[in-house]
Amino acid sequence: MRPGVLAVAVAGIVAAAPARADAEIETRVSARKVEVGEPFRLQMSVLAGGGEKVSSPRLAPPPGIAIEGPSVSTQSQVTIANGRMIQQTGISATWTLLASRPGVFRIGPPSVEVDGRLQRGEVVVVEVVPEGTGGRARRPQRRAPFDPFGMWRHFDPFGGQRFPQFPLDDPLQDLPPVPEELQTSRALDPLAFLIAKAKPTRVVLGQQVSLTIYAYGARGDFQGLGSTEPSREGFLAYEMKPDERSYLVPIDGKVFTAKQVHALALFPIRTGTLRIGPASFGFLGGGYPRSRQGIGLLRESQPLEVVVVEPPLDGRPPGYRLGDVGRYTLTASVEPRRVRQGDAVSVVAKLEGTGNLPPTLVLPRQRGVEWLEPSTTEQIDAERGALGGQRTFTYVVKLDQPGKLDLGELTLPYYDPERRRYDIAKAVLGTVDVTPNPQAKSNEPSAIDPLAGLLPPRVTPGPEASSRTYWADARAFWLALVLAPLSVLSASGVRSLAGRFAARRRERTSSPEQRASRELDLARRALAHDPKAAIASAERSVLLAIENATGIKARGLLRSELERELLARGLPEALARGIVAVLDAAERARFVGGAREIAPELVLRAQQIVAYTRRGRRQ
Amino acid sequence: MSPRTLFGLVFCLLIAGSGEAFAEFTSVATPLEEITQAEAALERGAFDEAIDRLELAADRGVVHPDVSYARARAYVERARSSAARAGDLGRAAAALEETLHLRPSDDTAEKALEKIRAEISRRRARTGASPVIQRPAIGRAVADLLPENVWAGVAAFGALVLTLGLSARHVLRRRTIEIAAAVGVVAGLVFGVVGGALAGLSRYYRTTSRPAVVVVAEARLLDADGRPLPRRGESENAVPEGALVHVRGQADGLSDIEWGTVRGFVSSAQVRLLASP
Repeated sequence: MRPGVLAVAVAGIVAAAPARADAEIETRVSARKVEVGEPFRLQMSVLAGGGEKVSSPRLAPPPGIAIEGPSVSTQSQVTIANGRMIQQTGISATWTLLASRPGVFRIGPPSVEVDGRLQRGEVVVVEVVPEGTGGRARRPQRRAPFDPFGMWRHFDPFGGQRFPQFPLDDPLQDLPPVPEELQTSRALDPLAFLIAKAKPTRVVLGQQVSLTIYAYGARGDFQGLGSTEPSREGFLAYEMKPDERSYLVPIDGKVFTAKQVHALALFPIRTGTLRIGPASFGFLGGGYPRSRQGIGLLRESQPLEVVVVEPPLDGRPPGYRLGDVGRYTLTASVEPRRVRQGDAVSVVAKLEGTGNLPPTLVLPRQRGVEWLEPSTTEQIDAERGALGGQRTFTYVVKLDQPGKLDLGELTLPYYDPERRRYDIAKAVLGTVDVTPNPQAKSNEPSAIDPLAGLLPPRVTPGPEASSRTYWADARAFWLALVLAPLSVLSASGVRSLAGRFAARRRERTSSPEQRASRELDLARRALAHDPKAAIASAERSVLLAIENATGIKARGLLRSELERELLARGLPEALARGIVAVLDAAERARFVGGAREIAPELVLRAQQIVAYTRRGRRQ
Repeated sequence: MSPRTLFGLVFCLLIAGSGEAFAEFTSVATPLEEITQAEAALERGAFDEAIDRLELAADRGVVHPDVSYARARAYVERARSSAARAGDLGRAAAALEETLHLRPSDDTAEKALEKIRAEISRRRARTGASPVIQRPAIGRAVADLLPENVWAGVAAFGALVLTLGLSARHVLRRRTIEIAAAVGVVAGLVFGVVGGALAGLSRYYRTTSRPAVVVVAEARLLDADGRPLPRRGESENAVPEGALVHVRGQADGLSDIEWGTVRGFVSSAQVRLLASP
């Protein structure tokens, strides 16, 4: 074949190539020779034809190389050639790599899916030398005229750029306006800081909480290395793809580079105040000092709290399971619609919606219909920050009763937090014709079932349980318990005391001294109208005074004996004689007469004797 | 019909329809309705529906011994069916304990509870698990011998006899009455102190703990931080399904329980608290 003919043939083959040509992929590495612990970047830029979907960039690092990322940005390119406009779109995926040992490493190739087809970039070879031997030296920090904040001074790894939309070409150009959630009034750290935001912070059990961690750096763009996710006990977590676009955010007179570094959809699985722990992030970039572990400038976000409550009881439908929250629709199909007794049908139910898709549906169980455990497939993704998707349940349902069988409906009661009410997703299953099969086995419980007939039905309820009153709850009960016997004891004690007091009082009032005084009073009162009575009382008062002073019962002694006794008891002689004289005079007046004349004198003498004996006793 | 009339009619129909749908969710059925609907569901083999309905009634605060009984029946029926789930018998035991808690004289519930516990033990033995015998705490065992109000009655009786004895001893001075009064004082003192102490103890248990039943195959005992307690000798440190425990407090998803002489924590989802009248 002549060369000219061959050329025409090749041209024809090229012209006949499929319209979907391979995407344009370029793989670049920021350094071919690095030190151990020195981060470097590998970038894969993909440009595909307009309308083709470029997704899932992947890079498997060799042993000894740690990897972080990728951070992905989109790009588009419009070229006009020969009057034709060619539009290409694609992505740029950048990985940050860190070698932990020296050696020569083959990294890659990175791969990407272009409209579902896997396409690969190139393998790059990087030599890693021991730390300090690579001749790495810090260049003087000279700021470019377009970079007044020094944000981009650290990195220009690729030299001339082929892709006009590549973000490193002109970092201040094409930056979108700062979204509201990135705006903050003050910098928590002058160099770099993290802010965690959870939305909402008061939810019902099972409702999505969107957690986003924002990183702010004052020294230009950064990558993350040595980052950790926040602890979130009590939550189910789904990782969401963060919006990794960088924004320049003015804070406190400085301009910070800010971007999302973590995005999680959290679903609380218990009630209470749940804590979301701090996330850490290693700021890696030329302007940021590195820690000893080589993991960048480490910063932590603040912890957060989320209050989780149960959805309301009001309006809760039967069969609702705590945690089934979101908004769902349910469809189902049954195949076949005619089976023999003992055979099975297939029920395929598709649950779609937003929320943490519930793992089970409420099944319309009935006698003669046995639902086996379903197999499930699911496709879950996040759309505009809300997790959702679809879950397909495939059930095998055995039918043991012949006849036209209504399978009922599959349901899923759920709580819709946006509308704040319950709803039920339903799918009607329709009827199945089950033809009789004499060989079909019965699925009834065996006759030796120990629980058979254990609890007979109670159609008419008995009396309600009345709320109980406990005596021990009443303070009066305990008081009565103690005070009743105590009151008797107290009364008895009081009575005893009163008796003793009365006895003592009686004793006091019946003493000879008291009685002598009383008799003396009587004598004085009787002087005016009854001298005999006055003399008798005076005589008694003297006798009592003697008894009081000496203990002698004078009435039982002769006068002569009395005087002797009185003297023997130590009374003065004059007093003893006086006493005897008064007693003699009283006796004479009683028997001889003349009472009226001597009564005053006698009473006076008696009074003196009583006073004297009283005084003498006290002394 | 004018457009305005038509619009009004449609609006009224919509309102009526939504009201009906709303009423389906919000109305709280009476115990009789709950039992009737649950029995109808059980009759056609819809055990889940019966259980869901009765559990929702319990959540809404319907407390009735026969509703608890119906719940026990629904769990037992499901446990007997091919749709049986782990913990069904434990939940049936909990419902029956609740029935007895609300109506202590229910003999059917008492006998059924014994049989269910025996069946749980039989099934445990079949899986190779050793039978668990837990000694009751002495204080609770003595206090539970009689209802709290009976202990309070004993205390009140004791106080009355003591009071009468003391009164007689001090008021009536006859020798025979004094002997009888002394006997009354001693007896009253014993009844009063014992009855009062046990009434107080019963009250303490009642106000500081709530009865509950384990509704999982086995509830592992944990410490306050949720770590499993170490084994002690032959003790498994796990509470078997259907066991009656007393919950002294709940926090952070854990329940502080007293099981016989053992204290520990279990996951709150593993026990079901019994409703009180």
